[in-house]
Formats: sequence, C-alpha cells, structure tokens
Amino acid sequence: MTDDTQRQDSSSAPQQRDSGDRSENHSSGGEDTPLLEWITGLVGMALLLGTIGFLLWHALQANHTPPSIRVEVRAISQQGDQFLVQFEATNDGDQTAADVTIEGQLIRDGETVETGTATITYIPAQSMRRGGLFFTQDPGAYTLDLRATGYEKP
Amino acid sequence: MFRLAASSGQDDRSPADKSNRQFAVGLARAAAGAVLFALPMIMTMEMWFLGFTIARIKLALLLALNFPLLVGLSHYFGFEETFRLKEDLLDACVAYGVGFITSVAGLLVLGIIDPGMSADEIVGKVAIQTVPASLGALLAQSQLGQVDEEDGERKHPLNYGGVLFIMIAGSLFLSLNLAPTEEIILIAFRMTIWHALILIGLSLAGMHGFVYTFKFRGQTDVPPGTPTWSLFVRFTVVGYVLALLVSLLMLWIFGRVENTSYSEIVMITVVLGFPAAIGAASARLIL
Repeated sequence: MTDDTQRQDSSSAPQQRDSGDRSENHSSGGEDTPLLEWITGLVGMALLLGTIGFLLWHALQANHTPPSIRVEVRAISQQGDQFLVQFEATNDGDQTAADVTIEGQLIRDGETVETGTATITYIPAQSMRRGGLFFTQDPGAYTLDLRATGYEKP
Repeated sequence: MFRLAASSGQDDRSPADKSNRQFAVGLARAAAGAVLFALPMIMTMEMWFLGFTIARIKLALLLALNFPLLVGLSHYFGFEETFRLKEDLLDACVAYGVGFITSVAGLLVLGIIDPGMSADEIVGKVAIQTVPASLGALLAQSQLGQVDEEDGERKHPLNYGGVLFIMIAGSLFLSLNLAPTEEIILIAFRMTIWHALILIGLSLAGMHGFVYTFKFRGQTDVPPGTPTWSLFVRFTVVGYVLALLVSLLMLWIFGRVENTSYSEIVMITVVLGFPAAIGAASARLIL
C-alpha cells in the first residue's frame, strides 16, 4: 500500500499541470460541455424543482382532513362452495390510514347472519385499494353491509 | 463529471458528435450506478409506504438537502482541479435527472407505482427513491468510470472539511437505507442502557479502525507520524458525532421520533448511529 501511495504522490504534479491546461480550455465559455449534457442537466433541474414544488404545494394546502374510507362492492362471484365479494376501499381524506379493517355483514330482517373481515395495510390519502371478503352464503340473498371499522395512524 | 477520458482513437466524426456520444455512455453508466444504489431501497416495502406517509414538507426538505450533497460530491470526485461551480451544479442536475428516471422505471417495472394511483402517492414514492439513485448516478462516474487510471485519480487532496463532508455523505447513504426499517426501532426497544453504551464503544472502535488505515495510505491530511489520540479526536469522534446527527435527521424526516420519549430517541439514534458511523468511516475508503 505504501508503494502505491508514493507512486500516486510522485505522479500528482504532472497531473495537476495537465488538468490546469484543460480547465483553461474549459473556462473559455464552456463549449466543451456536450450539448446533450446541458439538455440532460436542464431536464434534471426541471424534475428536481418540479418534485419539490409539487411536494411544497401539497404541504401548504390547508385541508388535512382525517381518513374517510368509503367501501364499494366491485363484484360478487361464486367460488366452489363459497362466495367472494370483491370491494374497493377509497380514502377521501387527506391523511393515510394504516391497517384498515373492512367488515362485511350479511343482514336479513335486521339480523346479522354472517360477517367477513379483511385488513388493508395502507390506504394512502385520496387513493383506492382493493380487497375481497369470503362468505359461505350467497350475499345476493341478503343485504350486504360493507364498511371500514377502524384504522391506525401511520 | 459525466465525461470519459479523452480517447485517442481515430474517429472521423466531428468533435461535438464524439463528446455527445461520450456523454451518452456516461449517462448509461450513471443509470447503472443509480440502479446499484437504489435497488435495495426500491425493493424495500417501508420505502414505498414512506412515499405517502412521510410529511410532504420533510420530503421536500430531504430532496433540497440532497442537492448540495450531490454538488459537493461532484466537486470532490470531479476530474478538475479547481472548484468549478457551474460544472458541479450541472453534474448534480444530471445525476438528479438520471436518478429520477431510473427510479420511475424501477418502480413501474416492479408494479409499485401504476397510473391508477394518485399523483401525490406516485410523486412521493419516486421522490424518496431519487435520493439514493441520484447519489449512485453521481458516484458511478467516479467509481465505475475509471477508464484511465491517471485520469480517474482524484486531482486535489481532501482537506479536513472534505473528509468531514464525505463522512456525512457515507453516513447519510447507510442511514437512509436503514432508518425506514422497523428493525431499528425494535432493536432500540429491546436494548438496555448497557447495550447502548457497548454499541457506542463498538461504533467508535469500528470507525477508528477505518480512520487508522488512512495513516498507511499517506493521505495529505493525515501525515505519517500523526499521534493516534489526534486522529481519534479529529476524525473518529467528530465523525461519530456527525453520524449521530445525520441519523437523528433521517429519523426525524421519516417520522420515527414523533411522540417518543427523549431517552428512547437517544437509544434509536445510537442504534442507527452504528451503521451510520461505519458508513461515514468507510466512505473515505470506498468513495
């Protein structure tokens, strides 16, 4: 390692002279910089400022309403001897909800016949996540009540 | 500096064509570096979730802090001897652009973002990945691009401020990797105060091990014969404190220390400070 170091040290002087020459060339207006580099650099700058601007714009928006979860049925299908209810859970609030529990109840004459639950890890603000509930009885024959029963603030 | 060493090959194309082509090769290399640095984080669940749970203002702050870091790294690893701010700013912009595009491509391919998601979610997920990706893009040029050994060598020796800056960059990269994980918090909860004290000792010892090897590399800022206590105070202790500060900053940005008692915050910072310290000390060897 020591040998290596000495070699580097002894060669550093000519290198510096060399790069000094080069920077003189460069400083004459930067025409050495490839056009493509300028274009890429400008695109990068635009992306950076755009991202920061977007984030700040969102940060400054006054409304920070808590999660508001709306659950809607997408499809009901039979799978062998059980039934699948696919749902969409949409968070209309401005805050993310974690570990959202979705409960579906099959109701007839005010009496709950069967309950199914699912947990969704995250529903970000203004976003939608999908899931499904399994029932042994045909949901079509009952009133299906779908709702979110709780969440954790991440 | 996204440019290859001047090639001596005979080529009848115009110089502008050639330098554009060389820059395109440099871009591909930068993209490779971005993938290398960002892939572990693109494939980490916590990083996706942080994309939408992290406070927008903190994410904007993280991106804003990342930019001077890129400029500084471009300065220290650039091939030019003098500090040419315009070139370094341009390099940082290019690295950010490459990091951004690479992150979008990676997240799209892996199905972590899709057009059906809200803009807020997509931008957040991409923004957080852009930080390691742009670091990788910038460093790819200094690490993978050493076509010519002489040209690839750093032209200006690091001064003390430069060493500390590179320590910050190294600790930032490793703590960025680990701060989002649940394990850091869990480890802190399981540890007693005695564990923490031993970990502090280990962090310092590990760091000093790296610092000590610089003595043998004959770096100008560490002349041979520098007493060990001087190295320890000037590099190890200062480096460790910087690593702890960077760790605390990352934990705060990722919302890991909200509504947490001060003693627990200290424990979590010490836990994250261990990898951050190793990152800080080894950065000088690796970078």
